[in-house]
Amino acid sequence: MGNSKKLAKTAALSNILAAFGFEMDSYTLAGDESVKRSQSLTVSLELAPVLSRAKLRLPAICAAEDSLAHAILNGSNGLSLSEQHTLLAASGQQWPVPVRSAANDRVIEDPATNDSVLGRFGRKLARYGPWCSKDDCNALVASGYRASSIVGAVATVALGQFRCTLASGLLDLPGLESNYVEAGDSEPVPSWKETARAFLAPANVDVDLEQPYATLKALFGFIPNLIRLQGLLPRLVTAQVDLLDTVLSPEDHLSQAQKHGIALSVAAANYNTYMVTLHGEILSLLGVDARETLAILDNVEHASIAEGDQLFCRELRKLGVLPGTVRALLNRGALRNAGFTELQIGEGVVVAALTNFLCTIQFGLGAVPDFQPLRAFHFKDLYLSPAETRPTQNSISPQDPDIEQVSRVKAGETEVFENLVRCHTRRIFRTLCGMLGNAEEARDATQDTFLKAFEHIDKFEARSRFSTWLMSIAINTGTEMLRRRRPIESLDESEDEKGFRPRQVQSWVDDPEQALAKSQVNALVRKGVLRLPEKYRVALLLRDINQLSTEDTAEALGLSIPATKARVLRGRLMLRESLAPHFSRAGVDHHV
Amino acid sequence: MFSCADFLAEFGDYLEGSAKPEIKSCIEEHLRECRTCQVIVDSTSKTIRIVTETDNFLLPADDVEPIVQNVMSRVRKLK
Repeated sequence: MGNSKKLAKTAALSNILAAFGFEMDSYTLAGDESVKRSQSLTVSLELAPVLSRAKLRLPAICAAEDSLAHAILNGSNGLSLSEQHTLLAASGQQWPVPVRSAANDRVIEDPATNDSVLGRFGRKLARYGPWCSKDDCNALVASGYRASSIVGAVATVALGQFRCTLASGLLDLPGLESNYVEAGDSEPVPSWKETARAFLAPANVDVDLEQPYATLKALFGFIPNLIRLQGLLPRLVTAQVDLLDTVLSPEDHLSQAQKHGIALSVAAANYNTYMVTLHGEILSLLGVDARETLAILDNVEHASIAEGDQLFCRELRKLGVLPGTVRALLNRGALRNAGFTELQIGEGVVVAALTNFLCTIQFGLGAVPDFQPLRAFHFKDLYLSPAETRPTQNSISPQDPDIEQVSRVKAGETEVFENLVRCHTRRIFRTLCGMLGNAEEARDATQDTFLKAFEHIDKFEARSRFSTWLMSIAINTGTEMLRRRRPIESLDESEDEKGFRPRQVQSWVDDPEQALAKSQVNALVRKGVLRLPEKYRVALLLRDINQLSTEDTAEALGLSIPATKARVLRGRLMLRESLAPHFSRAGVDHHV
Repeated sequence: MFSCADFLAEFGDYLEGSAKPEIKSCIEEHLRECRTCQVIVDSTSKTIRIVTETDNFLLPADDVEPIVQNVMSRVRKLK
């Protein structure tokens, strides 16, 4: 190897290691090749945990984090240092750590590992975890990797996610925008395979595992399948259980219910059925009502937990590992303003990081839930809605997340338009189906919407976001179709928005969703929405069913904010009128 | 003191949790006295919850790709 190449490689390696908390003070490229694996990580690499760098005063957690890293990177799983670096770099590429381009340089320079089955596996697990399947494990087996090495590889990527989560949540990293925004989009979304069973067989109980298993029983009351699957590497299990115990047991700063609520939120952000089920079960053991758990899962604003805790869950969801082109920054200032201490915030970030670690392990090993799933996520959930993938506040990128792809389409890269269509199809369809009340017509209208968008994309001047512009085209398309069907009032028709008075004033049952079967509730909502006058229906479809913000709804409708609010409220009140006979106390008694 | 008409004009922001503090306190003062408006707040909140959680009008996941491919095939012809 020439000197310049050697120096470049050393610099790139230094950056990778720095991102994961390693220091390069006494480390050289020569050392990379000659150093003995097991002790080198502690002695030569001077492992510096992210938590210590963040000066977080949680010594027990810092020590447990350190132990976990050692257990994974000590070489006992049979992976070489080079392979470990490839897997860590695969995680780093998905995160706003300031080493991405350097990591890429290094990876590109080292095709022996990057272009290997292991390199591809690491990148898929880091970026598209929910899409991993037994086929990916089989590919590693076919390349000669033993089961323990596969567990080690999964744990190494998971460690990368863990440390990147910590770094993103706790360190004030410079230059995030340029390092992350375009991360990882060069690879196509893989195809989805259902997971029916774990990818590897669980290890027989080893005498080395008695202690960690006893700790787990004390901690959770059961031994999660996820941990059993890692039994081939007892040191990994021991360190992992120690970290779980150290993070989740104490109630010095956050309560156990708060921690599991955060973990549930982050697991939901990752669309991880297994982890959502695990934390749902633990919350149930802690006495949290199942409906409350579902509220935290779906929309934490509907949970009856304190407003501060809602904010905490919302903020920490931003640290999920879900694939996306824009990652929102944790707003530590907002959390401080809500009264949380640095130690509470730090502990919350550690819980989020631990959840990402365990989610990645689950994605890689395919553990099946220990209990009846609280919510079974399906690949349909991974066709992400813009609201999920495109945080509008505290985003790293203040820009429209679609703007780069739109520019490429404008420049003649027609095929890039396919990504935009795929990303926005479900939301556009939902609006049109609600407007038209007919799925077949809505399919046609959805296609027409995209064709019009493509034909007029040169006229899109980025004054609004692309998704909003697209929605306004969809509304116009739907309106034209309705007008062809029958004469109808104009969306712009002015009417006294305040002229409506509620007539149904009987009190409702406490829990209307439980009063009727879900299918009946859905049918009533559908009928009620379709009977709304068009302008209120569209406003309600955008604001409540598609859950756009008031601002985006106003923009898509071309209305002022006050006019939009009035229209949405009127739609809600009118829908309330049609539902009231079915959910008022007298109505439900009548049904019974 | 808010009347029921004042309440109906202002309670949209209250439902969204975005009412200004002075309006919020007027609304809450009115709600302490008015059973009818209490019912309207409660039932409208429940309506919002029901409608936001509905599964209606969803496109089945399997139907996404055919639409994407149809659109792209038509787009390519436009080139």
